[in-house]
Amino acid sequence: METALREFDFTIPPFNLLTREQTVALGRRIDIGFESEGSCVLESGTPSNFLYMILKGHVAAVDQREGDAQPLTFAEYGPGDLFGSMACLTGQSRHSYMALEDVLLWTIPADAFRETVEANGRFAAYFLDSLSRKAAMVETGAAQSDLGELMLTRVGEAELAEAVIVPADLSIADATRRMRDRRVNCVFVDTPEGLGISTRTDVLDAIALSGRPLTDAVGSITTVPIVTCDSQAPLFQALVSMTRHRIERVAVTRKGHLVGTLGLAEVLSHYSSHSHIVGLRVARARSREELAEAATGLTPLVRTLNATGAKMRHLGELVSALNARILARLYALTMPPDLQDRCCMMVLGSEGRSEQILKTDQDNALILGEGVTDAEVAPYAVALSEGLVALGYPPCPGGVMVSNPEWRGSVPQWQAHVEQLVGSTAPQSQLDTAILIDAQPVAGDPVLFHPLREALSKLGQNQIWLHHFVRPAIEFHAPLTLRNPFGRDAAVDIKYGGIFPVVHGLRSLAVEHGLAVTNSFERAVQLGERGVLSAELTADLQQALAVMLRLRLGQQLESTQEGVVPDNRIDLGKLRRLDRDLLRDALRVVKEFQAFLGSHYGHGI
Amino acid sequence: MSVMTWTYLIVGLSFSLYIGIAIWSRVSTTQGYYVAGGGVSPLANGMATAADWMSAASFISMAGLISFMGRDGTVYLMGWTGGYVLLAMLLAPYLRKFGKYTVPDFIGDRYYSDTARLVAVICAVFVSFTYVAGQMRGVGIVFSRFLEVPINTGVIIGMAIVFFYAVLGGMKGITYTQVAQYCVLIFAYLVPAVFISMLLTGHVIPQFGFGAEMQDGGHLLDKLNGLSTELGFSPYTSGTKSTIDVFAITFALMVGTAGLPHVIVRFFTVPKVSDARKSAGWALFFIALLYTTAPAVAAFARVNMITTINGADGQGVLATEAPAWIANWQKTGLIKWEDKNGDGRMFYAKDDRNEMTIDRDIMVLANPEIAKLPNWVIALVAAGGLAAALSTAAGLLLVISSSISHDLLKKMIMKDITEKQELLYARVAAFFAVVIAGLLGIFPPAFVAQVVAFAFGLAAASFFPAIILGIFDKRANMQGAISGMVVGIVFTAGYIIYFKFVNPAGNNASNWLWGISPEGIGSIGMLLNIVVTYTISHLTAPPPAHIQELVDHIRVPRGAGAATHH
Repeated sequence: METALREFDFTIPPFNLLTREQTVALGRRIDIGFESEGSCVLESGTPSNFLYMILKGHVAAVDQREGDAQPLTFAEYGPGDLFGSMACLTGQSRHSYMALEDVLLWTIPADAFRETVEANGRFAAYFLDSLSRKAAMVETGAAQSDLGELMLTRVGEAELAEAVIVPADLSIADATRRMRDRRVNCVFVDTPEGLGISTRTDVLDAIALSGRPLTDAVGSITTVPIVTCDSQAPLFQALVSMTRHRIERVAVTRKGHLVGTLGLAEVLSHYSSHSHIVGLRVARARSREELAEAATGLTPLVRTLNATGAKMRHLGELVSALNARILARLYALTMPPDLQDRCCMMVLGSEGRSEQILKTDQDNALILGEGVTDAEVAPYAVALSEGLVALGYPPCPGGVMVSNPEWRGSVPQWQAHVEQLVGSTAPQSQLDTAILIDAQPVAGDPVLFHPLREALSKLGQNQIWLHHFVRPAIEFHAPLTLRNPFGRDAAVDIKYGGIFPVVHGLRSLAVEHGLAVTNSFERAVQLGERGVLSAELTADLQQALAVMLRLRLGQQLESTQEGVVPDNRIDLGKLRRLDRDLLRDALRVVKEFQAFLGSHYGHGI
Repeated sequence: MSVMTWTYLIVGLSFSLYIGIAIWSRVSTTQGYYVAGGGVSPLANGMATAADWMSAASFISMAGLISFMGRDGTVYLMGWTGGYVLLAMLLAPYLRKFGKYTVPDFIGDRYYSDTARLVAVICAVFVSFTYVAGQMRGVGIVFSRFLEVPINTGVIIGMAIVFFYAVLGGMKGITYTQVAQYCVLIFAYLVPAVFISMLLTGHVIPQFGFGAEMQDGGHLLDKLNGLSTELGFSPYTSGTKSTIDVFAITFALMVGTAGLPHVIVRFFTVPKVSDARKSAGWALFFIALLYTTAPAVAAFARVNMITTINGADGQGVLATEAPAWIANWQKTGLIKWEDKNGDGRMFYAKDDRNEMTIDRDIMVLANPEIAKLPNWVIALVAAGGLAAALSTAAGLLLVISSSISHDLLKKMIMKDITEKQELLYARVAAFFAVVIAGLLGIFPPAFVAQVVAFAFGLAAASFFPAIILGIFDKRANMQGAISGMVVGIVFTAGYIIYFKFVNPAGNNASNWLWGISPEGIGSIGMLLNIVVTYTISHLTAPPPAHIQELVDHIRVPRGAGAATHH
C-alpha cells in the first residue's frame, strides 16, 4: 500500500484538488490491478467497485447496441486516463471497458472515491462537469445530453410566467378574464388554507364536465397547497416535481417570495429550442427595452449549448444568426421606415464570419444607398450604436461602428475605399481590411452590399498586398510545450497564438482565391475542395479551430460567471488532461499552418 | 586583445543585436497585431533596402576588383548603381501596381503563359544562384582569416551559418534587423577608410583623400600610376577595355541586376507608394555612401599593399621581415609567395619579377591590417562583411527555394504534393543551393567569375526586355515574349559558351563581335530580344483585352484625385 501511495501521482488533475488529509486517506486505499488482454474491466450498465486510472496499456470504451453486430468503440484510454467514475457515482457504467492489451491499473475503491467526492466540492465538480462533456461527445440528442442541460440550467433562467394572485371569492368568469388579460395559464388563489392554484384546465373541467355556473367562486376549484420550486434549483428539479405530482406547472419562489410560474412546455422547449424562444422574443420586441430583455437570453443559451457539446461551428452560426436578428430588429426600431430599405447595415469581423459566440465589441458599418446623404442617417446611426450598447454590445475601441462617419459611406465611396486599401500595407488599413473582408449584410437592402463584395474579391489579385496582409498570422507563436520552465503552468493567449493565425491565414487564402464565404470552417472546406489545402490539413485546421474556440468559450463563460471581464487567456492549470492534449495537438496544427503560410506568401522557408 | 578575440567579440555582439531586434520586434507586435509593428519610416526602410542591396560582392569584392583592375573595375560600380536606379525608377513602381510578388509571376501573368513563367523561373534561380556563390565565398574568406583556418574550411563554416540563418532563422525581412545590419556594415566600411585616408592624405573624408595630395607629396593617383607602370601594369587610371566594351558590360550589369528578385521584393515592403519613392531615394544615398568610398579604398589599399610588399625602396621586403598581414593571409591560402629568384625577398609585379599570388577578394578585409590599424577595426570589418553576406544570402536562398518548391514543383511538375512536402522540398532546395554555392566557392574560382558573367548576361537578355515591354507596350503578347526570350538566351548563351568554354584561346578583342566581350554581350542579346518581341507581337494577334486593360491600369494613375472621406 505504501508503495502505491508513494507512486500514485497526486499532482495530476483532479487529484491535485485534494487536501493533504484527503490525499493520505485516498492513497491508503489505492491499489494496483491487472487485467489481461481482451478481458472486460467493466460491463456497461453495471455498478463499479473501483474508479480506475490506467498505469500502463490501453483500454477501449465500447458500446454494444441492440441490432449492432459489432460493438462500437467510443474511445480509447491510455496511461493517465480515468474511467469508471460514472459507474461509481450512479451505479451504472455508460460503456463497457475492454482491455486492448495487458493493462496495469490503479484501482480506487468506489466507496473511498464517493467519500472523497462528498468531502471535496471542486473534486466532485470535476467529475460531474466532465460527465456532461463526455456525454455530449457520445451523440447529440440522446437523453444523456439533456442531463447536462438539466444539471446546469437553473429554474430562474427558464421562461417564467407572471404570478397573478386573485382572492378566493372572485368568480370563475372574472378569474378566466384575468388569465387572458395577463396572458397566463393559471392564477394563484388566496384561500384561508393558504395559497392555491387554478389553471385553465381546472376552469374548463369545472364548466364543461361539472356544469358549474360561471359565477361560482374560483376558490372552489382551487388546488391547495401549491407545488413550489426555488429559482436557484436546477431546472430538472422542476421537471421532477411536475412528474412526481402529475402536474404541468409549478410556482417559482425566490427567497420564499413567489416570482412566477413555470410550465412543462417551457421546461421542454428550453431544451429543444431555447434558441427559438430567444428568436421569437427578438421578433416580438416592440421596444428597445423588450429587445434588451430578449438579448439577455443569449449568454445562458450559449452556456447550455456549450455544456451539451454543441459543435463550435454550429454554435457560432446559431448565435450569430440570433445576433443578426437582434441587430436587424434594432435597425427596424431605430431607422425611419423610408431610410430602412435605402441603406444596408453590415456586421464585420468575427460577427461577419459567424464565429462570435459571446457578445463582444460592436463591429459594424453602414452602406448608404443612392440619394441618401450622410447627414440624413447620422443621428440614426448614432442611435443604433447607442442602442447596441444598451443591448450589451460594448462600443468598439477602434471605432468600427456605424456611429463613426468613417464607417458609413455610399457604394462608390466604399468601392474607392477598398481600392485605396490595396494601395496601402499600413497596419491600420490592414486591420480595417481584415474586418471588412469578413463583412456580411444583416439589415436593410442587401443588394447594396454586392458591389462591395465584388471590390473586396479583387484584393486577392495583388500578391504584394497579400504578402503583407498575411504577415500577422505568421508572427505569433504559442509555446508548444505548454509548461513553463519555472514549474508553474503558464496561461496561453489562445487568440494570438492559435485562433488568430488560423482565422487570418484562412482569410488571406480565401481572399487570394476569391471565396465569397466568410466562415472560417467553410473557408477551410472550400480551400480544400480547390486543392489549395491538402485534405489532411483541411480537416486538421477545422478540428484545431473548434478545439481552441471551445476552450476559449469555456474559460470565458467561467470568467463571466465569476464576474471577471473575459479575455483570451487559457489557464492551462485548469484544463483537463484530455483538453490539454487536444490543445497541444491544435497548436501543432497551427504551427504547421503557419509554416505553410510563410512559404506560400514568401516569408520564409 | 588579439584580432581573433576582437572578432569573436564584435561578430558576437552584432549577431546578438540582430537576434535581439528580431525578438524585440516580435514581442512588441504581439501587443496589437498589425498596428504596433508598422510605421517604418522611409529613412529606416532606405537603410534596410541598402543592406539588402549591398551584398558581400559590394562590401568585400568591389574595392578589390577596382584595386586590381584599375579603371576597368569601375564597370561594376557603375553597373550595379545603374541597376539600382533602373530598378527603383523603371520597374519597382509598376511591378508593385501590377501586384505580383515575383518577377516570374509577373511574366507568367502578363504573358498569360506558363512557358514564359518557366523561363523566368529558371533565369531567376540561375541569377540568384551565382549571387549566393559570391556571398558564400565572401563569408568563407571572412571565417578563414579570422578563425585562422584554410579558405575551404572557412567556406564550409560559412555554408552552415548561412543555411541556419536562412532556414531556421524564422521570419525574414524584419526591417529593423536590416537597419542594424546596414549600420554595422557602413560603419565597418567607413571607419578603416577614414583612418587610412587620414594616414595617407590627411583628409578625413576618403572621397576627398582619393583625389588629394599625399602626406609625402604628389597626388595619390599619380603615385599609383607611377607604381603600376614601373611594375609592368597598365596605368591605374586608364583601362584596358575599349569604350564600347565598357559600355556594353556596364549596360549588361545594369539590366542584369535590375531584375534581381530578392531586391525587387524590398521595394514592396513600404506601406505607401509615396513612401516607397522616398525610401528609394534614401536607399540610393545609403548605397552611395559605400559605393563612392570604394574607389578610394581600392586606391589606398593598392598603394599600401605594393609599398609594404615591395618595400619603400622598391626592392622587395625580406620574407623574414615581412609585415604580419602577409603571414596571416598566407595561412588562408589566399596569398602565396614563391621565391622564384631565391633572394628571400618578396616582390609583386605584373611581369616575370612577380613572386606573389594575391586573391583580390581579400583587399577590403586585409586593408586595415595592411595600414596597421588597431585590432578592433580589423574585427569590425569582419562583422561588416558577414552582415553584408548574410542578409543577401538569406534573401536569395528564399527566392531559390520558393521558386523551386512553389513555382516549379507545386505549380508545374508535382501538382498534388501536400503543404508539408512543399515545405520539405523548399528546405531541401535551400540546402542544395547552399552546398552547390559552397562548392563553387571552394573549387575553381575562375569558373565562378564566368558563371557570374553568364548569369547577368542571361538575365539581361531574357527577362529584362520581357518586363520592360510588359509594362510599356500593351501590344506585347505571349508569342512575342517567348520568341524574344528564346532568341536573347540562345544568342547570349551561345556567344558566352563559345568564348569561355569552346574556344577560350580565341577570347580576345579581335575575334569579338564589334569588340564586345562575353561579359558585355548580354546588352546585344537584350536589344535582339526587344526587336524580336516587338516585331512578333505586332505580327500576331494582340493579347486578351483584360491584359491590355491591366497594362493601361498600371501605368496610368487612376482615381488619384477622387479622395473620399475615408
